[in-house]
Amino acid sequence: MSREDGEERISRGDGTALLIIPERFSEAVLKDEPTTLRLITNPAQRILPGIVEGILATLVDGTFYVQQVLGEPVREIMESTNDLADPPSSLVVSSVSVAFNETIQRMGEYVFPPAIELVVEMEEKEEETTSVDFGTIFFQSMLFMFLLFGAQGISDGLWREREERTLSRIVSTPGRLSGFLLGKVLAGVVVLGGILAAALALGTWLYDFPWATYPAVLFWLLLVAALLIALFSLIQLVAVSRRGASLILNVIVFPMMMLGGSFFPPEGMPDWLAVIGRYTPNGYGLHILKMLQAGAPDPRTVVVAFALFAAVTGLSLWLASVRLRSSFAKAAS
Amino acid sequence: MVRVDRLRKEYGDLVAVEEISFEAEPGKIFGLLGPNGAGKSTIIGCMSGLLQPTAGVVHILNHDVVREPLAAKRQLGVVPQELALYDDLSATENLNFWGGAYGLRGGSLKQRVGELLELIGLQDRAKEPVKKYSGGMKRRLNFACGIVHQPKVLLLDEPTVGVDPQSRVRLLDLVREQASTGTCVLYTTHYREEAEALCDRLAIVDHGKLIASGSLAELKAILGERDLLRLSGRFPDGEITVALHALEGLEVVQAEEELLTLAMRDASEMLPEVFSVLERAGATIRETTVTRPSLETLFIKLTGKELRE
Repeated sequence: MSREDGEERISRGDGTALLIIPERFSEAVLKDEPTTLRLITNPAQRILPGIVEGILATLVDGTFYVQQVLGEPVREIMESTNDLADPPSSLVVSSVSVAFNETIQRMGEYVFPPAIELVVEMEEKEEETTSVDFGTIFFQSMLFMFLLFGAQGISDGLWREREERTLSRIVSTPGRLSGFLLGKVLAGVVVLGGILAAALALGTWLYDFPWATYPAVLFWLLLVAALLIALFSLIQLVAVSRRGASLILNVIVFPMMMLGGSFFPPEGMPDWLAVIGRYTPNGYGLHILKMLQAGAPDPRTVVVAFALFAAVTGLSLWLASVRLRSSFAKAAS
Repeated sequence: MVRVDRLRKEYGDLVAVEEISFEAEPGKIFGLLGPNGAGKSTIIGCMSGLLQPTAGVVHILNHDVVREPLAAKRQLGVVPQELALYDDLSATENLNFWGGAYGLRGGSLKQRVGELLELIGLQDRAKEPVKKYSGGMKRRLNFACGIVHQPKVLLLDEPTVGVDPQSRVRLLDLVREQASTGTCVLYTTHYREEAEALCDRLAIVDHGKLIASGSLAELKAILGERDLLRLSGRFPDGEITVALHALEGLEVVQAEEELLTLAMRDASEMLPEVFSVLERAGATIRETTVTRPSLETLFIKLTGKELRE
C-alpha cells in the first residue's frame, strides 16, 4: 500500500495504524546507520493503536539487539552476494557459521540460564502508619449513641409518673423524693448496664480489645450512663411540659450526638470539629473509652475523668431532687 | 387523732380553702361533703403533704404534717381520686411497690399483699398487668394500695367516682371494715347518699368554706325535721315573701324571680294553703318538688343550690 492510500484510510477512520517504512531501511539497519520508522495511529480508536504501538516498540528493540549481536556475520553474507539467485560460496557459509557459533557460545553463559540475579530486599518503614479500623470506631461510637437515646427515654419516665399520678402518691408516702429519684437513675443504669455489658463483651471479642480492659471500660460506661440519665432528668424536671421537655432534649441530644462522635466517628471529622466535640459529655466519654480500650491509659487523666463525671452526676441529681421536691411533684396534684 | 385547725390554701388571688377546722376520731368515718370544686381535694392534698398550706395546721396523731412530715406520713394512707397505679405491673407488683414505699419488707409484706388480694377479690388475676383490669378492679386495687401498710389514718378522696354500682358497694364495705379496725377514716364525696350511708360525722364544704358540721342527726336538726318545697314558675319580687310570712312555721330559704324554696313541716299537707297564698300574690306555679329532710335539703338550705351543681 502506498503512503497516500494509507493516510487516506486513516483519515477516513478505516484503519488502526499506518507504519511508514523509509527507503533503504534494511540496509541502514544492517550497516548500523540511523533511520526512522513513522507510525501514524487512528485517534478515533483507543485500544488497538496502543497495542500496535507496543508491538512495534518491541520489534524495534528486538531488531536493535539482533543487529548488535549478529550484525557482522549477516553483513558478511549480504556483501558476499549481490544476487539472491547466486548463493554464497562454501567458504563464506563456513565462515559465517563459525561466526554464529562463536557468538552463540559467547552469549550462552548469559542466556542459559539467564545471568540475572534477583535480590529481594524489604524496605523498612520509616514510621508506623496508623491503620483505621472502621468497625472498631463505629462500635465505640454506637455505644454512646445507645447511651444517649437510652438515657433520654429513661428520663422521660418522670413525666409518665406525674401524668399517671403515681408521683403524687409517692409524695404522700414517708419515702424521700431524693431516694425515689436516685432509685430511678440506678434502675436506669442497671437496665442500660445489662445491655452494655453484653454489647461490650461482643465488641471486645470481635475487635480484639484486651479483655483486661473490660471491667474498667464497663465501669466507665455505667458512670456515663448515670451522668446522662441524671442530666437529662434535670432537663425533664425544668421543662414546663412533657412535650417541651422532649423538644429541649432533642435540641440538646442531636448536636451532642453529631459533635461528640456518637454518629460520625471523630476520626472522620475535621480536627477543629473533633476538638469541640471532645468537650461534650459523650465526646469526652468516648475519648476516655478509647484510651481505656487501647490498654495503656494515662492514670491521671482517667482519675480526673472518673472524678469529674461522678461530681457532675452528683450535682445534677441534687439539682433534680430540689426541683422535684419544690415544684414538679407538687404540681402533679 | 386528726385535727385540722384554721386551714387555708391560696393560689394567688384564689382562695381554695378558707379557715377550715375539724377533728376526726379513730374508728369513725368523717365525711367531707360538697360539690365538685368545693375544695375537698385541696384539703386532702394539704393533709397528705402534697400541698403546702398557706396557713393553719394539720395534725396526724399529734404530728404536724408540715413540721414532721415523715412521722405524719407513716401513719397516713391515701387513696387518691385519680387512679395512681403502674399499669404495666400486676396487682401483686403494685402492692409490693407501695408496701415497700411505706417500709414493709420480706415476709410481712408478702403476707399483707396476700391478705389484700383476697380482701379486694383479685387473687385470681393477681399476676395480670393492671392495664387489663376493669375500672372497678382498678379502683379496688387503688384502694388496697392505700391501706397496704395498715395506716392509722386513711384519707379517701372520692374513691367511688366512675365506679359501677357493684364495685361501689364493695368499696364502701371495705371503707367500713377499715373503720371497724380502729382506723380514722376521712372520706370526701359529692354523693349525698354515700355520705349519709357511710359517715359518722360530716362537714359540708362549699367554695372552700365549711358551712356546717356534725353528726347526721345534728345536721338534720338544723333543718328542724322540715321538708323542703321547691317551686318553679314566676314569682313577683317582694310581694311573695311578704305574703308567705303570714303562714306559720314556714321559712323562705330562697326567693328568686323563677325559683322559690321554702322549708316547713309536713309540706304535702300545707301545699293547698301555700298555693292559695301564692295565687293571691300573683304568682304562677309550673312545677313543685317536695323533698324530705336530708343532707341534700340541708345543702340547699345552706347554699341555695343543689349538691350536684
